[in-house]
Amino acid sequence: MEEKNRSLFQTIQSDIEKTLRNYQFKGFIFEQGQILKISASVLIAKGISNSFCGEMIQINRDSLAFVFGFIANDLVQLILLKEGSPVHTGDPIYRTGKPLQISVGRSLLGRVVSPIGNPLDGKGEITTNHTRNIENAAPSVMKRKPVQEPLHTGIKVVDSMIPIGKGQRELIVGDRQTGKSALLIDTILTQAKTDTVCIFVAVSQRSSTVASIIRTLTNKKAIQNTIFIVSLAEDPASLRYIAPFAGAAVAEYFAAMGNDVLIVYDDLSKHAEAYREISLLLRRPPSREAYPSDIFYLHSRLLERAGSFDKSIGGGSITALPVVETLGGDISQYIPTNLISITDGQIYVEKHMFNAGIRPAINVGLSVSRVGSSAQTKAMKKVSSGLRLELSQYNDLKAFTEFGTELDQETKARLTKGEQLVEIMKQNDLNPVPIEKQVILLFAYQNNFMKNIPLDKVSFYQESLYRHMKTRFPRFVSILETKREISPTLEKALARVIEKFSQAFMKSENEPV
Amino acid sequence: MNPFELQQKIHTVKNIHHVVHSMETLSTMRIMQLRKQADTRKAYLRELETILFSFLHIVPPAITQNFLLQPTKMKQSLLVLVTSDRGFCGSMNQQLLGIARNHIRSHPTVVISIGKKAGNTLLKEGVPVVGMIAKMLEKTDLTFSQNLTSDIVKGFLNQEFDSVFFGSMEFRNLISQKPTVKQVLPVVDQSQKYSSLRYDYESVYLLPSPKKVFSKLVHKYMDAMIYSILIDAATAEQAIRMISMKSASDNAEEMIQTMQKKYQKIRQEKITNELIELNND
Amino acid sequence: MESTKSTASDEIVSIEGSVVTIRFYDTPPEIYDLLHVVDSEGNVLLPLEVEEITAENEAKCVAMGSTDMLSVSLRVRNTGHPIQIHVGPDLLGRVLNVFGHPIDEKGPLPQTNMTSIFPTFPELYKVEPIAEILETGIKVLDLLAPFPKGGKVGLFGGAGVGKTVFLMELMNNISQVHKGISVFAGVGERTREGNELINSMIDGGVIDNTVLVFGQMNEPPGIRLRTPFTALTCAEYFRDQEEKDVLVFIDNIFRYIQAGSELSALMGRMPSAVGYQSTLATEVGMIEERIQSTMKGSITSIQAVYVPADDYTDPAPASVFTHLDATVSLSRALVELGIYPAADPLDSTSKMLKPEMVGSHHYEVAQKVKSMLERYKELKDIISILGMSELSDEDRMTVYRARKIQKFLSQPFFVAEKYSGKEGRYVTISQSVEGFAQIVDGRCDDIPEDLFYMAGTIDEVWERFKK
Repeated sequence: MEEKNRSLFQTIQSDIEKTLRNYQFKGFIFEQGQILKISASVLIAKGISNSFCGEMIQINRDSLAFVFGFIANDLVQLILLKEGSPVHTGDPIYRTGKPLQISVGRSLLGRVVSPIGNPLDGKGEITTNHTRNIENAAPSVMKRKPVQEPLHTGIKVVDSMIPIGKGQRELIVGDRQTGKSALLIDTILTQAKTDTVCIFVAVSQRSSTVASIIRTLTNKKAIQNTIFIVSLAEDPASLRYIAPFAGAAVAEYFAAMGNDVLIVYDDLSKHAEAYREISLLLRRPPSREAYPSDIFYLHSRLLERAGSFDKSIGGGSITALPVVETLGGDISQYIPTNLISITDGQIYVEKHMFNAGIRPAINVGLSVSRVGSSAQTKAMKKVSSGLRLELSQYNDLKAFTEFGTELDQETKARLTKGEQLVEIMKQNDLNPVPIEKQVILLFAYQNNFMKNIPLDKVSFYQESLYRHMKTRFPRFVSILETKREISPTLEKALARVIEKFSQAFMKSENEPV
Repeated sequence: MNPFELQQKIHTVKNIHHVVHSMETLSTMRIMQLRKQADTRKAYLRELETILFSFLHIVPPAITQNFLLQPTKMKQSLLVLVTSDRGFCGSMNQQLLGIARNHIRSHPTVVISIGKKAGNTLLKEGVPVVGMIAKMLEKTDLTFSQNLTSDIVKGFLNQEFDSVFFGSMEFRNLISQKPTVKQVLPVVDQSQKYSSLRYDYESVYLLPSPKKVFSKLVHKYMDAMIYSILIDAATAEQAIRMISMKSASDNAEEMIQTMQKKYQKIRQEKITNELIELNND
Repeated sequence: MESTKSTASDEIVSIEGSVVTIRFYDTPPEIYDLLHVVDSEGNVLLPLEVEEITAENEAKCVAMGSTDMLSVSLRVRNTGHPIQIHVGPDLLGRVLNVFGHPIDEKGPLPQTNMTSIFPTFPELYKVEPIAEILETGIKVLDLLAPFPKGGKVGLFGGAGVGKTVFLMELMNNISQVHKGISVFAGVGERTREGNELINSMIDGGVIDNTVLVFGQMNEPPGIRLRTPFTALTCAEYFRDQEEKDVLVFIDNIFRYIQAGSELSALMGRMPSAVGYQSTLATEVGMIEERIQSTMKGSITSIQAVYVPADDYTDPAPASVFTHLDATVSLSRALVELGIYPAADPLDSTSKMLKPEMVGSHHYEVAQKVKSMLERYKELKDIISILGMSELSDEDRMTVYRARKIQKFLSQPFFVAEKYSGKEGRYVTISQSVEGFAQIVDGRCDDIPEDLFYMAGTIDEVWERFKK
């Protein structure tokens, strides 16, 4: 038994030396302890005082916990990760010598795993060559490069007026049932044709919800680039707590190889609740709203692991889209406020817009992207310039429509154009719009070719125009796709084509059936 | 009140503020447009007046007396009362009703009410309101004005009434408007004022005929006068509304400030109390 | 990290988040002493800072790094002193962490001339009592919110208002004209922003006279808490040993307070109003009191202040305000008008703007400028709709002059030359005052307002007019 253990531990030791910093073990002492107290998913144990923070501890034969802290009298605080057979006081616990890790590798693509790497999709074991610590330091200030590449979401109102760049953290905030998750799915679908790796971190979700998302992505052929890291509502708080960090670790693996990664956290409100649950069970002093006082640090260190990275660490990027839920649209609550001050902007989804049928229900006035426009393609920058201002002026003018029947022509024209803009920005779920299509559409709008299109025909016009361009002028479309800017010659050509199309469209619409 | 409710209230008042501020701005915009029209119209009116009264003496009285002869006793007077369709214009309509009632007390009067506000009230008071025209002041339309004028003149010439007065707000400047009753028919003779401009008999020929010329001229004069009155009234309404909306807007702003201070206080107290509770467990 | 063979005899009793309790056996450590958690070879694994001595030979410490992988079996050694950093002229152009170690990959700094990052207040006789103005060369500041030398300026304004360029121009002017030094402390803000600042500073050519210290929001609270101390220590070196004028930028002072509140709660201390630490005022004082002029030089600070829930009465910003001598408010509205620097002339203030401090002429001109801009603000709505014709002659004149003032407040920056194509301008205080006096008195009434945009002195405007 001793011999077997010794060689086992030697293997573990060399693993440790590979993955841990600053440690040079001269020997490894086998340690075994036992559980003294159980309080939901929090355990107090003794006998493993040589263990370290974050170390994985095995309980019995099939349960797993990790070390969260140490308290007086050589007692160790453990958080239960996985309970095989029920755990009782007195049960033996064994040190593994390994910190919380997740296996990382390309074989994760298209798979659904738990935060500690166990497959959940029934498609068999996942074999990788690497593991990565779940907690990692974010790259320092010298290891970054400016956010300059766009990350297209396929959502018109976002890509034009709240643009996101690769390496940015953009918060999605709003009440429940306002379409926040739909935005995430559309963004993932838009990455399907690119090399971007997508990671969906589900925190405390219902299994039916997750299953339906997986189904959608599979049907839309977007699953091959996506990794799901799932913690369900019924999972212990620990899994819900580490899920985002596990996701970040997987993201870092791919980014270090030069990939662009998109990671979505759905959602961090539940993450904060899981951390609160653990902290309260550990009798850590509660702060505002009973959250532990380092709840800011919980999210700041998580989200700072996203960014645009220097060549010296791979040159990749991790774009993060965390989601946070508000109550009654109140963004001055503790967790949303923290997240807003951490991220590089927020997309604010509003309940009454959602209920009024405006989808996506994004309030552009309250939303902001601190990085975005420097990461827009030249073409998009050109056709989206002034749109934010136009929209906000339209919203101001709308108040007039309630009183002034007598508006001058100019004002009336502005109102109509504004209504049209709102109409253009609407889109259905699961229908991400490729960026070239957006550019063409906005080009038509900005140059007033849509002047006479009635509101109820705007949607049909959009589809027809794009179809027209793709079939008759595919060259233009592909230039926009590849070159991403509109040269003066292209501009003139586009203008001619779109004007002609618009006129023909109006004529055919007005002709009696 | 909990901070969230207070935030809602602040939000509501902010919306109200936005609305009244919009109305204030809209009125200001309308005033600008109306003033442009008013200036040209007033100049035109003055020109007509000058021409009319500078050769009135050339036209035989038999032709002019229909328009100019003041009846000794007004048997039936027509009062066209120009009010607003909408509220939010201070005491304007009350003031107009006041002068209307004064006029009605002095002469037997029938009333045409332009604008819903006055007509309904007067009807209830038993005043013979023979016409009610709504949505006019917003338009201040030349065509409407001309139609109104020709109806009035026709009625006057048919002796349905022997005098026509307009009760309306006279626009002096942005902060001063006065409810005025102005006699429109019979035309008030202002020849004295223009005596220096009198033409000599010998130097003027009225073609095709004095009657035709006079008739055309006096109709145009009536048109211009009534249109001027209507524009003035419209401008006055907008000015009063602008001021009353501005004051509402200022009040709303003040309310918002007070509530925001209160909100901050409550927010802070809530967090402090929450922590005191948590720490006492 | 250093490693010595001296015995580490203290033990770790508990590790709870960032709070580590140790048990000592010999002499008790002092508060703020730096302890090292070492491995069996004596290599330093994690620094700790002592915050409290509790009974029974135990001390509560704050981890100055992540406690991940930390074990109770490790030993602790007292260095006998608080965090110390090397100071010297070789700090210039370097990017440091809270320990004074470079993170810019340009090589290590010598471990000589070490000084504690904790305050040693200038002895009273060394403090310069007379207040003096620090000329910035930026018209809107010098005229309406003059900086007090050795004073504290609060900086307000959200994202996208030109904060970085604004800070860099101040750094440029202090080094070029005043032959002074800048120290930048990135406290608890986004690492991305720190990276952008460094790149901008290299591009703008201002990095050589600057020291940068970072402890951003990816770091645990202990590091965020002490980062400003490290920055101030560097500043004090340049003030006292090299007798320079130093500009210290802190972005964002709220994060310092926030870090303190995170730690206070973790240490089990009772919270005070609105959940902040009971030691809030003291902790703020520990930073603010170090920003002083002495006989030898001065430290003037510009602190970005985040205001939670836009509530200026929140204890955190409120406690910073009591120390501020001036505030600069960057406004998005001005950015949208293309007016850079986007400092709001009506919302930026200074205690120095008094006749006794700036002289009665400067004071009067400033007051006239402000009242004209105020009046213009009131009239703006009416003008945009009714046009100027509705105004009285006096008001119309005010508006024409106010618009010129507004344009004249804009100024081309040296650090923005590459982007704007315009040469930068440094304008002395007397030139600024003279320029605005001319506009206010009506001497420039014939000059079209566009000529005032992005100009330096008023003479330059006259030059343009003559052409």
